[in-house]
Amino acid sequence: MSTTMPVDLDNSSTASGEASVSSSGNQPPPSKSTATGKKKRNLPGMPDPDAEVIALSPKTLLATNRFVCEICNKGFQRDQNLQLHRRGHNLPWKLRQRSSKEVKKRVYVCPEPTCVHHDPSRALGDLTGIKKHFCRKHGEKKWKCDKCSKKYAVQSDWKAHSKICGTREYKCDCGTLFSRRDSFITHRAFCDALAEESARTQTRTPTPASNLAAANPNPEGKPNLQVDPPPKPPPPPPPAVPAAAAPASALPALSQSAGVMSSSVSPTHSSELPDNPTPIIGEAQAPAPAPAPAPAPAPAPAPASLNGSCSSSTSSCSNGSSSSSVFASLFVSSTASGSLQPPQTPAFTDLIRAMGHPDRPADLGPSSSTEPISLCLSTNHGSSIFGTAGQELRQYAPPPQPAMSATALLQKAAQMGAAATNASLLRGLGIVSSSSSAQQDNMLWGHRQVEPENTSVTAGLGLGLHCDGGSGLKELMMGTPSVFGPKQTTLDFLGLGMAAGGSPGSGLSALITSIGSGLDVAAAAASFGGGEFTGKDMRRSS
Amino acid sequence: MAQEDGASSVTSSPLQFFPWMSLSPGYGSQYPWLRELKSEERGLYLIHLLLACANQVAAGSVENANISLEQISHLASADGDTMQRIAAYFTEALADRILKKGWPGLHRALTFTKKSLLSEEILVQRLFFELFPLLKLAYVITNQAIIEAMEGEKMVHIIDLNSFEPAQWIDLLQMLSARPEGPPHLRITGIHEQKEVLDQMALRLTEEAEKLDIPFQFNPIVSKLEDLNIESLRVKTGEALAVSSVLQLHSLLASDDEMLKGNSPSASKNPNSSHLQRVLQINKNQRTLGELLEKDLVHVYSASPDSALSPLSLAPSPKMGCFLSALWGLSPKLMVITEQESNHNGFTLMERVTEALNYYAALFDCLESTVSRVSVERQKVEKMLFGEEIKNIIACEGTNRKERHEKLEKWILRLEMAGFGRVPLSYHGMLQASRLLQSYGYDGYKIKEENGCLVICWHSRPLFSISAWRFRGMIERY
Repeated sequence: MSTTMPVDLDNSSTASGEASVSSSGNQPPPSKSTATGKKKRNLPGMPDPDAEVIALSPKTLLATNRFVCEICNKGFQRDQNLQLHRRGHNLPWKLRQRSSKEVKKRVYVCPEPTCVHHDPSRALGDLTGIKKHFCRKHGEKKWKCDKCSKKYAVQSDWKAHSKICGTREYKCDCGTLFSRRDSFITHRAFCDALAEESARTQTRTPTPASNLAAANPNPEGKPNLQVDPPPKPPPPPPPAVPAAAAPASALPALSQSAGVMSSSVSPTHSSELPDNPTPIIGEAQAPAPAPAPAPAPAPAPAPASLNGSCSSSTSSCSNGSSSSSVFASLFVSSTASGSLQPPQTPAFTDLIRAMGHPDRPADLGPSSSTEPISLCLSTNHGSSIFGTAGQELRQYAPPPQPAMSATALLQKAAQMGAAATNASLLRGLGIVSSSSSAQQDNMLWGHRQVEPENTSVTAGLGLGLHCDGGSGLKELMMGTPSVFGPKQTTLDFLGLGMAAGGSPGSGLSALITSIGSGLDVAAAAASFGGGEFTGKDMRRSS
Repeated sequence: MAQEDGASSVTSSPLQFFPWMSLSPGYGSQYPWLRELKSEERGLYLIHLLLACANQVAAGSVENANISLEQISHLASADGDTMQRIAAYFTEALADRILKKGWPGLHRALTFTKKSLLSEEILVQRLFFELFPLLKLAYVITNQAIIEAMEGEKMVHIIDLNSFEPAQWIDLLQMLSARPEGPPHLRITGIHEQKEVLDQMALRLTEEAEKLDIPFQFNPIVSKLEDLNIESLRVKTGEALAVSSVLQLHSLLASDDEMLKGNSPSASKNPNSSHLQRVLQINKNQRTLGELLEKDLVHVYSASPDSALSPLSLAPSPKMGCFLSALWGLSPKLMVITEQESNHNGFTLMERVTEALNYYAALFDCLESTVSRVSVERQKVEKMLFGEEIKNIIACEGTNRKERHEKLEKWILRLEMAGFGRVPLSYHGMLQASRLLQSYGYDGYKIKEENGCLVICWHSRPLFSISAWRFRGMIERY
């Protein structure tokens, strides 16, 4: 029931004629926002002093669909809409035009006596505004957000919230959700420290992986290559060396020590090394800092026995990092040095340490080889894309680039190739694109073969002295195929050992002699128990 | 033996400089440190060998190629370091190519019993989903684009060109049920070659939809994409259509290149005229030629001069033209296309080899950084997914060569010529994708935005592109 009837209701410019029949049917004046031209807005909170104050009843404010079709009882919020609807029933209809009279400013007060806006001096200028206000403050909250359980009395508030709810969320690694960016960032600053610590103590286990590798290094690998290309060389025979037994027992222990390794601080590296028979390792280990995620640098291969077992277990795991770590003190190495952590390589020192500390508790996460399996098994039943995979992946924190990535290698090859006379025809990689130039190279090669291609050779010999190695290397390679007739067989390759060993052709030693600095390498190579032929030749040529 | 001749030093193998390289790995075990020592050098050597071999294969010198293959195979390994693995699969592909061309009977005899199991194939797809963020990102971005495009729509029909991963649509179902206006009536048409996969999808999706109380229908279509019958999609009027194509569209570029090359002048001679010819070939609909020409000429003249071949000389592809115009005929409201961002559709083998080397090097690097070397799953992905793609790119030709990846700029051209307009992917979608990357800890991946499209990169190397399109009527200007 209205408490006061507005005076000029009947003069309302909107079609309010019929509606005045109902007691609660106070017709809304035209929405102010639809008027043409900019409206003069009063300062907020201070209504126009000579505006008309209208007090509507709660029922009025809450009412919706005031206009009802008499035929089908469908309700409409606006009379205009009802009129249009009546056309469908073939009823007489009439749309009222806006009156030409200027509309008087109206302000509305809230019917709730305890409300601030009950006072005319705090009246609100907008009808929709007062309606919403009344609902919000004094109404029942009928709309609920289904994501977060916030409740709203006004449908538009609810809609607006739903659009936003859950869309701007920040999630910290630790799982806490934030809707505000500033609080999120603050939290992260403190949380990160915690997160890093926990990541550091997590371990990677090479063991079960290396168990697989040791037990069966390549037979599974072999079928990967189809029959067509020459079969891959058989895997290195399981080391028939004393340490053969070691892998079996050491490897399980390895996992334990791997755990120890990663959480240990650098100083302990050297302290545990005394029992290590190879000082080289110690030297190499020292520069390597305690890696956050990975075990210590790759095995130093000096002692043959342990080396054997390491190699078998690391045959599939090793990479170039070991080169620099081991020989850093002996050779100039251009490969990545410093903090090298090959991915799952059981550290050589781990092995040694493992043998010394077999009683460490083995408490490691799932092995990397089983991780992906669990990824498969735990396939998202019911869970969406954001499944559990993230956890497993994160546990395997990759080594910070121990060896050059393939992409980097390709870039390097391109640079080396670009320096060559036969510049690259194709972008990105320097290659000799036609066999005819290979022929050229052959002739070149024929003449130049004894030329000090030593730089390239040394590059090839792994010194990492990449002087002008590229071009030479390339030509060597190009030269190779055309040099050989079809009768070349693998024998020739393998036969080197025999040929050289049996009758070290003068050619061979001459070639080796012609390699200036190559001698050093060959000698060094020989010193590591190289094949007999090199040893002999060294003796012969020196 | 090499030492037969007197002055045999000329003919002796340069490999004598690398004695350990020629040793069988039996020797290798005595010098495992050598193997490790030389990883980088070995890698470089492998690259050179591969390229040499590819050259020889391209030139047809089989015997030389044979020798190169031999050499490479001593160094390459499917479970070695990244470069070794890549070399292994490239070698295999090159050998495959030689055999196919020279001894097709032999090739067939050796390969036709080696068909992989369906379960293995499905597993490998799943592994790719798990081990790489790409699919997840593609799904998230696709779904976000769908949600945005379908705001207010009551009837939504989604066509999934390769429907195998329920997670994608489960996510969408959840997002749709949270819409303030309530979920629409949703239909998903899934296309796949294997019925079992579609059955599984149907099961999971209907289950999820019931849980969320969304009116839902799944229509399976067991078919190859190129054989797809547009009528079978049963697109109804009044429903809003969205198409999701994840790494599928490129297979439609497969065509009998030789025949088509014969018809049109070679690209290098006269880019403009051949380009126009291709325009006509591709676009079956007689659209306003003037409009097309105008656009096309603009494109041709503004071609970036960064490659020997005009980057905008699209290879003619009747299948693609048909397919795109059929889709265009359905007036899709949205089409999200995810493709590999690399050009593996070059005419010459060397082109493809070098591009593929760079591209798959990045992919293998990704695996190297995230998965251990001894992981069987990683090997499976490398062998059965990447290895097969590499083999297809290198060893196959004509209609058999399905892995015809192309770069985004070409896709843009194709789609625009087929009557589609670009829909910029929203910032919100990109945010979600970045967040996904972070929360999963996929370090090294980056998402770049280019002209409203997203490119997913590994460090700075682009890997995949995602772009969104819509039906564009003839009247509308570009």
